[in-house]
Amino acid sequence: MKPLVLSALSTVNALGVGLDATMRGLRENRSGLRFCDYEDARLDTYIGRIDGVEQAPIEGALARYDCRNNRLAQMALRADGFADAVAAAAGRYGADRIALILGTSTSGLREGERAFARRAPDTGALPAEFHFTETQDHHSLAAFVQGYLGLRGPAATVSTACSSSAKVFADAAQLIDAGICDAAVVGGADSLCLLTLYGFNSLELIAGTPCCPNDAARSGISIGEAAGFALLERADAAAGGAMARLLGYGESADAYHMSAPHPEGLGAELAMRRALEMAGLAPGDVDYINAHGTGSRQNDQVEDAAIARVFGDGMRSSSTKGATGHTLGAAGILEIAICCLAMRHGFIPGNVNLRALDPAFRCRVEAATAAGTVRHALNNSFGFGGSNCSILLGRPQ
Amino acid sequence: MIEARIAGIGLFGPGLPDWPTARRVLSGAADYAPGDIVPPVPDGLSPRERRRTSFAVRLALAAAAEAVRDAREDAVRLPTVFGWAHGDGVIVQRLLETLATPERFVSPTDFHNSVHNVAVGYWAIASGSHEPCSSIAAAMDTYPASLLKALAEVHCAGRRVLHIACEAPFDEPLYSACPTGAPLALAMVLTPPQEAGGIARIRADYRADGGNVTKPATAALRPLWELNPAARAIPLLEAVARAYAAAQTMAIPYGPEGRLHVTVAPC
Repeated sequence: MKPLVLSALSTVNALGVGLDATMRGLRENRSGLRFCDYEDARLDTYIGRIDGVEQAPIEGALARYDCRNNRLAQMALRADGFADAVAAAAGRYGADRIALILGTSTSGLREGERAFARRAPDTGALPAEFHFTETQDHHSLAAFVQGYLGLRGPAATVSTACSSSAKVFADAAQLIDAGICDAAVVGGADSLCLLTLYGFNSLELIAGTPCCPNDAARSGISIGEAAGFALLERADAAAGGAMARLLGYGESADAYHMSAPHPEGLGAELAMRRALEMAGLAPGDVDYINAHGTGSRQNDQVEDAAIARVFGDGMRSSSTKGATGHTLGAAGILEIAICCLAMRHGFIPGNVNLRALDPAFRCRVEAATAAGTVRHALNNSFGFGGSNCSILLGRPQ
Repeated sequence: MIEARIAGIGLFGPGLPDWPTARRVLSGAADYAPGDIVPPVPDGLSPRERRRTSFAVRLALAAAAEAVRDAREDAVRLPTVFGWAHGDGVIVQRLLETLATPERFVSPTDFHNSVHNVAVGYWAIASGSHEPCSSIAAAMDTYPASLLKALAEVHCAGRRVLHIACEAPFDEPLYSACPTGAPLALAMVLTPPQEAGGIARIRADYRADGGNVTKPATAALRPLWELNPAARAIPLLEAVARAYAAAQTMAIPYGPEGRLHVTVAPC
């Protein structure tokens, strides 16, 4: 593929609002996880909850879109000068030449949960103030962001569970390559809701302690929430300095099971190999992998083995989900942002909460963040339904 | 602008049980006579997985399988782009009802079947395909959004791509919050433009020109076109079914002012 640049980037996650707060958290090896205090969820688990969401409603012309998920999106649009960068790009290309491709798994489903808790006792009807299309609908996030940014290009939502906001980079690259648009806003948001907390609990995938991916004693995931965006442009057309280059993507399907990964990591391996092939890079060119690393027994083991088959023993890898929680459909954009920070500022993000690496693992995983040159970084995002995506990034030139 | 060819078509819905029957309805040779439908149990799944597939998933997989047969293709080789606005809405509603009970005993099977990419997940398991697969939503614009993604993938990867569009209605009370009319699924195998043969040539471009949109010529299908996002494909399928000698151009609404301009031409 012809390289694209990420010319603007933003993030909101449990470590804080914006790239600087996130980088500080990573450098301090801080975990943003806390004991579950979300609504009336009665689960013995830890969550990566973002502070200040309750005080940041959506007001004005887009007020009907007000819900937790779109509030996270609004926080990320206001962070890191992102909305201003998009406005400048719209001035250069035209608002109709910028596509919008966002990922989410549950969008504003929380509003549906609230509506079903308040059904009319006689008729079972949902409350009149429930706005399905502007909240629960999967596309509510993209419709809100399109209105907020004033974009007029093609808009779409990718919803492939936990790979959603990684796959948006592939879709945007394809639209730009086909000449349908000149630039694209990509990213996504997923917010805490009862469905994911109780759903992962029903699958016995929730840890009772703050999650510790890649640890010998890991016992499951901690659910988090996040939103983030990137502006993708052709390398030769971008006006200012870039955060990073998008060099390749690899997508695959496990074709194995709806909620369990392929036992040999076949899909994960294919995704990583395809990303390398598209970028024209050798395994030795990659200095850091931000692993999907959920903290579940099976995911981490299968992923470690797949990384070792592609990159050999001792590959530098870490999961940052001990810091942020597993942000599900927003994991891709959050962890791609972390890869960009690692390349730009020269550090290898630590694997927060790691005490003893699983002795069977072949990757080199360190608990603490360390200084280090990262020329190329790979992000892995794998989702239910066996949907895998690897994104290969390079330092800006 | 992206060019491609249509190599195979599949269709499943009330009164439209397969593409040959639908072609007669869409070309005006037969009347549209909707009734209850029972989508077939999909091939290629284990007995337990077959039991776990719902009406919505079976509907989608029926159209997908017909399109692949029609194109004389092997599904294992095809990347898949799946467009539906609401996922499996019956399962989503059942989970919302469960979460409103004091115990909140969520069924683990319901939970993993509630992901938007449930249909493409079962399709990959049934076909054994490890190729890229995606699940796209864009509310009422899901058909043009997912078709554009599929065409862009044909263009970039230079290979055949399976595009599926499906929508099955919610139960009440969510149906009142989001009415989608009758169920409908359709699928097309899209090929690069330089491939020989096929059913029709297709050309697509996006413009935010706010121009007139093309509605179905088949009057009986207009209500479905208004409600069901997958039914936004009907004008395109009519152009194929009517096999005009000259190219037909249509505008599919895509966003407040956006239009996907599609030209369908004979091969």
